[in-house]
Amino acid sequence: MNIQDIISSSIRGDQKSQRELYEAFKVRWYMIALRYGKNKMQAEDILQEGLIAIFKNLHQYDHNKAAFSTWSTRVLINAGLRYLKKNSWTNTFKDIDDVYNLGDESETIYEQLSAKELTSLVQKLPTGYRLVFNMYAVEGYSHKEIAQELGIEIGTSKSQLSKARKTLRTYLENQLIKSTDE
Amino acid sequence: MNKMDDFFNKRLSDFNTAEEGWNVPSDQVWENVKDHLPKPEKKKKRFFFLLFGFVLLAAAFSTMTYFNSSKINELTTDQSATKNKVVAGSAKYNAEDNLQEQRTNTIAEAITNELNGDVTEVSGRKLSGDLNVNQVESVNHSTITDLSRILDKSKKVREREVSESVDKSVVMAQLLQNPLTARSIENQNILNETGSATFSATSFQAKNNQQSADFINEHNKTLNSFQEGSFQSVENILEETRVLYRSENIGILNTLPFTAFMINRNGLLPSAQNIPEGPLERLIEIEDEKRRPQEFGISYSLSAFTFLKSQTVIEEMDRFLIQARFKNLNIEYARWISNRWKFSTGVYLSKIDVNFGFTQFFNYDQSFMNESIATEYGNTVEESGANSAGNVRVSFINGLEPSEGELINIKGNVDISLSAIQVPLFLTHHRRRKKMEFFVGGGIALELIKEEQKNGLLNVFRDERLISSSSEIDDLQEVLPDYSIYGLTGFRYNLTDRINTGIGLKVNLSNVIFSTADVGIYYRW
Repeated sequence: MNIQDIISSSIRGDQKSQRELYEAFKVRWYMIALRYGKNKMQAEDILQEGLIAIFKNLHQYDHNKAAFSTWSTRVLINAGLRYLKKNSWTNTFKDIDDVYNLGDESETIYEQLSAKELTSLVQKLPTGYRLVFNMYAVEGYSHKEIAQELGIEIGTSKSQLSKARKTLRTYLENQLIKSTDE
Repeated sequence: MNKMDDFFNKRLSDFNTAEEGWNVPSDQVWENVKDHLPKPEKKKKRFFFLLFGFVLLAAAFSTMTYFNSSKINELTTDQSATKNKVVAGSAKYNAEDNLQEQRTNTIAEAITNELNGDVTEVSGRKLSGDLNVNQVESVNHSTITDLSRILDKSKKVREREVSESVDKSVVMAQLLQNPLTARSIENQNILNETGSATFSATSFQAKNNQQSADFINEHNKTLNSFQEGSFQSVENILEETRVLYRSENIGILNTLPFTAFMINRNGLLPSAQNIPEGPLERLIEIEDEKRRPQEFGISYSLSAFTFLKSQTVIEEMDRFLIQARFKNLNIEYARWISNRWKFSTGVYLSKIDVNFGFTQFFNYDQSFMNESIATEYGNTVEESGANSAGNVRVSFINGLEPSEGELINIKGNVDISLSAIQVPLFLTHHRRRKKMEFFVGGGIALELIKEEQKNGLLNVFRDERLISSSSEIDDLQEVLPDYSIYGLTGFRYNLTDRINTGIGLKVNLSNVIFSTADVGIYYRW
């Protein structure tokens, strides 16, 4: 069965197809959830929320507008944001500070770090940095869209992104040092 | 993009490897979720199959006519016009010329002609800039609601051998008949003239407005294929139309100044219709579903008893008299189960009050007197459907007993009342012709009938003088369940989109005397 058939069957409530769809995309969805949650447990919670949202809204998916992976990613992220908003959202985003301008240094030295290591570095970021960085750098949202989704100012989004980058750079250097020592 | 962003983007967007232990969720995740997922829908009640059982009972009496459903005759299109639409003046059309000078009929006319299937003659008239809003909106609506008919037409187009060397002007004329495609072409010309980069797909992508970019790309693809000279089927035109409609609904067209200019200039306003998302086939399904409304109606039945008052001369002075009154109210609920088939049910309330009377002269014969009365009177009453007249005996007033052979006159009457509650289960097939709708079908009506017999009296007269004590016939009452098989036919006239009225003939195949003609008014939603 192709993906469209699986989706159609899933909409009709066929549990086998629903499981099949989950198995086909679970890695993708979980990796996204890992980046938004601060740990594995939170990531699984986000994934669960996202799965329910995906399957409940599956009838709204239009294959002419976007690929299923793109659509489901968006739904998952929205579910993740809702989940995070329910859990200690206050003080997630700090006031605007000076914006740091980072140089465009080559990242080739960090190529040796695995996706797992990079994900764990993202997880370490404070929630605000993490969300903005994920949404901007990985998902491709604009600052305006991030501000709308998260209920913050555009300036806050920009500053959080800058801080996220700076913090990640520090993490990367430390991780690299750690890997070298090992 | 910042290099760090780019780095993380590339590395974290690779979902191809499932490395055990880190990027695979635990099994508990699915266990926690699976019970919250949509379940299979319960099978909807299959009214059709339930009804089919009843209809089988009435199948022998069905009067349904076979319609050739493969022919779509609602569009009275001259098919030759589909291939070579008469485009007076459009043969001279040059795609580089100003489109406005080549404009055909008003949009309303073009759409109306499309729908009615008339050959459209291009008159060369300019498009009216004063097209009023209501006219446009109704035009847009009628375009949408006739998607399926237009697609049916497109099937016929494809079936014909359309040469690839079709004159470009003919294709252009077809496109122009669709106002949105015409607008799209005009938009493209304006775009070419202005050469504005603001409206390119790239600029929209840069602004992170992927929807707008997609629209522009689809739009350009359609026009490119036309300009390359390839014939575009009606279905593709409709696909483009759907894209344009969808784009309207998400406000893209309004963000493009030249489109707003075109809209204002041509008097075209964005359609208020919300086009459901989805593939074109789904739009057709939705349109078909819109043709399956529910219906509620009230009707009145006219039957033989409505006007019944008859007097039958049996022999010389003997008379048999029936007077009847018929009261009725029908409440009906119907639901379309397909484009042409309707299932209806409801409650029919009827009451027939009949007064039977007879007067009979005969020579008195005591030995046969009571037997005769019982026989004659009883037969009369029983034929009416009531129960037996019971024991009817005549007693004469003292001293007034007639002599043997003396001419006497027996008069009797009884009131019979039949009250019925019927629950019909009917299936009818409908065909539309503009505002008229014809139907034929059949079904079964489940009944509860109450029979009453009362006010039965029997008197004997001699020379118009009462000589007997009035004999009263026992009142009787009985409630019986029953059923009737009906054949139906009739027509409806659509007063508005939702209200229609009509006349139907309901032939009771179980007992023809109870057939009726119904007049009613109905409301659809």
